[in-house]
Parts: sequence; C-alpha cells; structure tokens
Amino acid sequence: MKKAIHYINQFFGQIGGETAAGYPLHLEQGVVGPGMALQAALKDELEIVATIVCGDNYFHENEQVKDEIADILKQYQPDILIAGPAFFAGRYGMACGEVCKIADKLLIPAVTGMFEENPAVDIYRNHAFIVPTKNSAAGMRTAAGDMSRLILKIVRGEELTGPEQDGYFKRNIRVQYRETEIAAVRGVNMLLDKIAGRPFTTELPMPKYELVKPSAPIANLSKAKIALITSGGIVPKGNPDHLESAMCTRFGQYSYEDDFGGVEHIQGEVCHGGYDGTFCNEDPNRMLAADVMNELVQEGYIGGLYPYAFVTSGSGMLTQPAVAIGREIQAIMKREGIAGAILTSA
Amino acid sequence: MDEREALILNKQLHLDLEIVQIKDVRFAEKTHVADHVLYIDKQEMLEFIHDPFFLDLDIALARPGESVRIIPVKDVVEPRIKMSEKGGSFPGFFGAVEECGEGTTKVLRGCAVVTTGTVVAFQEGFIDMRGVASEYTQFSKLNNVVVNAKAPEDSAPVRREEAMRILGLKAAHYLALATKETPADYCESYELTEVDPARKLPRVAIVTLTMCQGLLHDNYLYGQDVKHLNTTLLHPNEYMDGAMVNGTCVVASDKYTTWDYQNNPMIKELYDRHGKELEFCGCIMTPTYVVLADKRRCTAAAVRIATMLHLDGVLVPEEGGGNPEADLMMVIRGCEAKGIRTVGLMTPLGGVEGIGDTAEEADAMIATGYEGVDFVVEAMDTVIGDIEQIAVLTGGFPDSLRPDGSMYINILAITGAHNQMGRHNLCSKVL
Repeated sequence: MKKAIHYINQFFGQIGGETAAGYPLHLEQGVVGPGMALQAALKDELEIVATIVCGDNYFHENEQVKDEIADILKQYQPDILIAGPAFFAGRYGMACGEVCKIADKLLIPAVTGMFEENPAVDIYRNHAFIVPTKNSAAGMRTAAGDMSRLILKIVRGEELTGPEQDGYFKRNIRVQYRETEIAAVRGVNMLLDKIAGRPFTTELPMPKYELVKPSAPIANLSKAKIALITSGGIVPKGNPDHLESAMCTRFGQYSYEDDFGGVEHIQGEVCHGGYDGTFCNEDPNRMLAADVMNELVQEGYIGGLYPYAFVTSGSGMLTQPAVAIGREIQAIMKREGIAGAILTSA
Repeated sequence: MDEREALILNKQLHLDLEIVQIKDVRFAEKTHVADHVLYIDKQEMLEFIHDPFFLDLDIALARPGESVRIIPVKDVVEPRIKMSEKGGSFPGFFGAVEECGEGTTKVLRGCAVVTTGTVVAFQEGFIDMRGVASEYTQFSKLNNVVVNAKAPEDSAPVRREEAMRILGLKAAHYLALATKETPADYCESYELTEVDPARKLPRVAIVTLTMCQGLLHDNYLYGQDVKHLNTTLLHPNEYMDGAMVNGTCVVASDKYTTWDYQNNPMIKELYDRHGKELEFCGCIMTPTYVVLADKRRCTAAAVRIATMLHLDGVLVPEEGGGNPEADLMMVIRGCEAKGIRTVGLMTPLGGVEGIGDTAEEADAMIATGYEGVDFVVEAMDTVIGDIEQIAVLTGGFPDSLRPDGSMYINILAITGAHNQMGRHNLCSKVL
C-alpha cells in the first residue's frame, strides 16, 4: 500500500492549546487526531504510516526542525506528505506550508488545507496543493473529504486538470502541454472570433506590473557615493560564480581592484547569453564604465565610486528573481551609504 | 482570352510549387533524385560549397529515426529553385529578384540542409533524429543533409555567422540545382485570388515581426540586412520563394530558420481559409530593433500599412523573446486603437507572468509552449558537430552533458521547438 506522512500541530495532536505551543517535534506511528478522518476517507489506498506533531512556536523558533523533518521524510520515503488542515490559523498555516516546501524540495508531493485568507496560502502555494477549507476546525469533515479526493488522485498518478476542477488554490506554476490544434490554427480561430465579436479565451492573460516610483534626485552629487549595477553580465575571467547565461537567478559583487584588475581596464568577460559579447569581451568597460566613473570622481563631479560592481545577466530574467536581486542590492547600498547607482544593460 | 491576357487582367502573383517528395537521402556517384531518394555526389557538393574561410568542410546524413544528434545547429534550409532560366534559390544571394513570388519553383520536400560546426554564439540549438527531443521539432522528421564546417577559432563571430549562413544557402542551392529536372510528384498553387467585397469576409494579415537587433540577431530580406529597412509589405509567396533568410543566433527554440520562412504554417493556414472564411491580405514585415525610436518607427509603419489595407484583424507572431515583446505590444496597441483586431503569438517566458511587456489591449494571446521546461534527452550513437558545446548554448548548462552521453537540457536548446508562427500544438497554462 502507498504511504503518507501527516504533519499536525500541538493542538490537533491533542497535546494542548497555546500553553503547549512550545512542544518539541515528535513522531508518532500511525494516525493522530485529524489523521483519523483523513485515513477513513483514504480507505485502504493510502496509509498514514506516521504523524509528526510539533508545537507552533517550537516550529518557528527552532531552525533545526526543518532538518529533522527532512530526515524523517528521507527515512520513510512517503508517496505523499499531508499537512494540517490549518484552516485560518496563522502560525500553523506557516508551519504546514514550510513542511510542504521541505517535501516539495525532496520531490515528494505535498497537500495541505487552508482558509483562503490564511497568509500562508500566498507564500506556499507554489510548493503545495493547498485545498480550500472553512475558516475553523468546524469544517474538518468537509476538509478531510476534499483533501482526500485530491490526495488519491495524486498518488494514483492521475493527470490533474487544473486548480478549479481538482479543488486546490492555483499553484502559480506554469506547465507546458499539447493542445489538439496547432498554434497557427488556434490563432486564426481566435482572430476570427474576436473580429466577429464571438467569445474567446486568451491563452496568456496579461500580467500587471508594479510601477516603481523613481526616488528623488540626489541633492549633492559631489558628495554622493555612486555604484555601478549591470545586467550585461560582465564577470571576472572564468565566471567564478557561474552566473547563468540566461534566466539568471543570482548576482555577483566584484571588486574593481581585486577581481577586475582596476577601473581603467577591466579584465573580465561576458556571461550574458543574449547578445554578441565580442565588443564587451574586447573592452568590458563598454558595459561597466568604471573608468568614466573614476574620471567623474577625479573631477569632483561625484563624491565617490563604490569599489564593487553589482553584476547579473539579464537574458530572459524573470521578474521574481529580479525583484529579489534588486532588494538584496538595495540592502547592501543602504548599509554601505551609497546614494545612487547607474544601471547598464544589454 | 490567352494566358497572358488572363494574367494581366488578374494582376495577382501566382506561384506554383512543384513538389518532389524526398523520403531518403544517400551518397552516390551522381547527384540526382530517383524514386523519392535524394542521391548526393559528396565530392561535387563539397567543391560547389567550398569557401576558403573554413578550415574544413564535411557532409553527413541524418535520417528520421536514426540515433544521431546534430549540435550546434546554425540554420535549416529547404532546397528550392526557380524553374526559369535565371534559376535562383534565394534572391539577393543566388538568383534574380524579379520573379520572386511568381512562376514555378521546384521544392525538395522532406529533406533539408542543416549547418553545424563551430558555434557562432551562445544561442544555437540541437536536433536529435530520435528520442524525446525529436518529439518537439519538425526537423527531426526531415532527411537532413548536414554540412559540418570548421571555422578558424580566432575569427569574429559576425564573420562566422555570415560564412555559415551563405554556406547553408549555397548547399541547398546546389541540391536544388542538381536535381532541378526531377519530375514533380504534385503541384501546389498559391495566389491571393480576388474576393468579392460584397461577401464582407474579414480582411486579415500577418504582422511578421522580424528580428534585427544586431549583434548576431539579424535576418536578411533579398540579401539586405533587415536592420537597414523600414516596415515593408510582402506577399506571402515571397517568403515561399526564399526572399527572407535567417541570420540570427537567437534562442534556438523560438527563432525562425530559413526553412521556417519557406514553410510558414501561419501563411499556410491563412491561404487555406482565403476566400472561405477570410481574405488574406499579405505580410507586414516589421523589423524589431533594440532602440526605442526604431521600435516606434517600425511599429507605427506597421499600423499605417494595416490601416491602408483596410484590415479587420492581424496576427502578430513574435520572433525571439523578451525584448521584442515591446514591439509586439506596440503593434497590438496601435492596431487596436485603429479598430484593427489583434491576436499575438508568443512563447511565455518563465513563471506566471510569462511576458516581458504588457498591454491591456493584448486580450487575445496564443501561448506557443513554455520556456521553463527542463528534461533529459537520451544519448545518441552518432554526434555530428561538437557535443561539448551544449555547455555554452542557451538551454544548455555547464554540466548538461553526462558521462553516458545523455544531456540535461532546457527546451530552449531544441531548434524549432517553440515556433511562434504556430507550427506546433504546444501551449502552456498556469496551474
């Protein structure tokens, strides 16, 4: 029989309420608490072989809990991980989400249940199948039924048709699949429908981007420390951090003096896969104009050049990692008292 | 009324494609076609395509179902030739420009020239003749005549690109020229026949966004670098007759090879429905530059031409990804503002949003797959080209190549997998 591991908190583990939230992680064989309702619905297709019980505070205050859970999953090799349901409980929801994420990283599918306004839904939706539930434990019976239906579908290896049909919050994961018609036919059909005023459904709803408000101008440039940031992928020779040539998720911070051999003649290479690097390989200062910035410093036009360049490769970069990279660079800039930056791109 | 009077009255470009169906390809003493087999005199072909730029040239064959991997792939070209005396294949490169899009053209269907060898830039791809990757590209279903060229290592990428591009065209020209007199298996006729305005069929065109970003992202129209051109109205038959040639080193999955221009699935679909459900009014070739002023110039021109043609709707397929989404959205906004309905086609990039630019008016989009798909492709018995180059190709990773010859790759590395003219049935959605 296929097997599952179930995660619950101290309350549903019948240890106690808020006063028992510091209860340490412990493993019980078989089902505990809500596991019984789930097991009843799962019948003899899937067995909950063990239940992890952990206090909500203990989970969030002890970093090693995650390793312990990963070890348990590696030991049991379950076909699926079940967490909660957490309904509208904040800390419990975050714990369930985190446990699902640990399973997801180990390529074990994970199912939990939450009320739509539980903040963990948005944070963990791409790591777990989160089944919508009522906002309190009064909805346990319905939740157990809804979760079991999806769980069985997953462990049977049946193809899922979509969040609405299969009953889980959109996971925000894009998947490729085959349509019956080729795209040229679909396109002409859609155009004829649109012209004729017939209904049609776009295959790519337009995203809405957050507009970034530019900050106020720097009052006194001659006192301002300025940094160079580039998405043009100028890295030290050999690309020591292995920045990806496309869909890059990271950035490097390189010293002009130590990594690039000085501002005047940067010794480096292009790792960006989206343009012909010939000209920038010949002279990386074309992308990373530290020489010109240095002249501006000499002239007293700017107060100083931050001695490190922030470098990433923008080819096909997604917004999410781009925002994360931007936030990290921003934190460094604030810490280092950098007043502004010039961004160059390919 | 004789034929000439009829033509004058008709005032339409009429193109007959005489199709010779190729089902196998083999080396032989003499280049010819017999019983659907393309026989090639390798020595004669090598002499014909000789270019002193290359250190070495070789020709290999790769047939559907064989355990063969071609990597890196520069271009794929279908052998075609005009049947007239001037007899060109790619006007502006080989042959006269005057007769492009009309008259008679011989086509060797079912085979192609594939160029490989020294990598020109990161953005080349690969073709497997069997296995997982072969399910994603039409080029695995062709009898491929692979020209393997070794360029001097110290040569500039831009020079390598030019030499490789012309090598592919020349090789296809050779095959078509040497087999020109082969009787056709069947004939296809292409003409934008007159449609009675009283029928009020929707007037439709393709805005063919054409990459011309420089730095090895260029296409060639009648031998001219598209980045020196303004938006131009083209007859679909011109594409079939080799007017547009690929010179890009853009992402392999969503670039248009020369073969893709010659065999455009969207042109075929619009021809099929011409005079029945719609009136096909042509292709508005719109260069996609990197500089905003050029984007404005070319997309505004596209909208003007669409307006002049009294179009009801346009299909706007993207070439490449990322940056050209700005051009895609500018065309969509401009056309919709004129009441011309639009459908855009593109392969979503990674993640949920899937696109680099956005417009409220872009409410009708076709997703031609998804760029974020990684998987393992099996080892092949034979590799034509250089398998080590997967490490630097877009869609490859430094550790893509495994000791057993299999490769962990992103779908971007498969040449032709995400054709945005809509060749495949791939789609994507957010779950």
